[in-house]
Amino acid sequence: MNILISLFLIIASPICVYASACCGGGLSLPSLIAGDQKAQIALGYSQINPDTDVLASGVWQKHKGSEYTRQLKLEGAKILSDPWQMGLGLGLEQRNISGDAGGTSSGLGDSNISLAYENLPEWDYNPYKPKGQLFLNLVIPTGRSIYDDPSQNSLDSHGRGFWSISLGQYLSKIIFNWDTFALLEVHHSFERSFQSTLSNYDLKPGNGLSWGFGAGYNIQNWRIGSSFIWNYEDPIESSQNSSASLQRWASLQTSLAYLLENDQTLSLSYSNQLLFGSPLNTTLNQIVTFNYQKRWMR
Amino acid sequence: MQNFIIKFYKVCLSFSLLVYSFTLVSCAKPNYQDSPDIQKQSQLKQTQNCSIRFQKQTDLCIQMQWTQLQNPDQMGRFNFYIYQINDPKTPLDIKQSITIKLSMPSMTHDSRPVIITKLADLHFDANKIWFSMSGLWQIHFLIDSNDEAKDEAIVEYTY
Repeated sequence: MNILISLFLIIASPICVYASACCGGGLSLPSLIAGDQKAQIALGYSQINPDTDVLASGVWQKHKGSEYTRQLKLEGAKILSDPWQMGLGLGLEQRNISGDAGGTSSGLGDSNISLAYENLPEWDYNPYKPKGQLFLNLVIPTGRSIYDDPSQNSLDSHGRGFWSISLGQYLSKIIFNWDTFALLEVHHSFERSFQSTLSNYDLKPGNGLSWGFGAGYNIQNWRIGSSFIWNYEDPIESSQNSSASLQRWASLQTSLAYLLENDQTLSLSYSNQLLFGSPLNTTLNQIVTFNYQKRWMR
Repeated sequence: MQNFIIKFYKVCLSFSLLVYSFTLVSCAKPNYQDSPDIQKQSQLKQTQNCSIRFQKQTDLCIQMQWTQLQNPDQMGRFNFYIYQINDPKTPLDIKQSITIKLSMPSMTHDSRPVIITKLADLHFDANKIWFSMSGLWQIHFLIDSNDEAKDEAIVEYTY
């Protein structure tokens, strides 16, 4: 039974992109092998619907107009040599704004490459001790950002626009039919210059933080789970602008997964950013994700 | 060492349960407010005595009025004209084109240049105005005048 749950634990890990704010981008967490596999690959399809804009003053306003973003994300992870593993994530994004002033734009999203080290191995049957993985994740700004977007309505922006490196700790534990995880991650986004016909200045995005936890209950080939991720980003400062505001938001995700075979899983999840926390200076989304995962056992 | 890890994990688990309980009761508190009526803001600007001045040439004033509010089918559009406060009827010597940019200070976003068409002496039409999200925006009017560096006037709008 524990083997079955450990297979499910993989999909409990935070492989999703937690989109935020306008015009592409968002937090990206690495794909991690948390079970007894030597490799895994996952294909995720998400539809992101912006619901509410939260201003820097804390005022909430229903998002004006009708738009959505669709993301196709391919993620893989492979054990290099115990206790090391590496991961890779690539994304395609399509943005649509309805109406004559809108349109559709598709492009590459941001990519990420990660390295993880199992710093708390689970080699015995200790009832309390979790399995722990320390990870380093590099986000590569392969998606065009709003700063580089030539379109009049910012439709062609699909990435955040900054190189970013993160260090995090992921803990997981199976207790009877339950699987649980906790996560803490800090990241730094690197300064870059921005040039347009009207402006030329440096952008300093600063640091960010995310933490979360989740649990799932497993019945035969089914798993139902829930997770909570809280996010914070420093203001993006520039020499031209002294009024930048921090961003924060929280995501609550519920998911239903089905184990097709021992090496394949299908899952459907729904994420809502309107329910918890004290969001600021962001767009709150509702996200539906369909995920297929294939694993190779050791 | 193992006892320490067990104790550490117990503390973490207790803390997580505490935080989880806290978050369950600390639901988000939506503070919904309707966005301000841009048309009313625009009319207000018209009735005030030069509320939009340039930063260097403080005797230069702008008046603006929205002719089309942004909606899913159309980008926003407004007319504006520039005049000297003390001598409104004398045309100004503005050598180069006037440019307008939109910026969102809280997000450090800039937009593409707005399309400007001259309607008459110092009377212009600004088209393709697009605010990509709700919030406080700034409309920057930039002019090149008398070989000096660009002069700027800023209007704030909450979209």
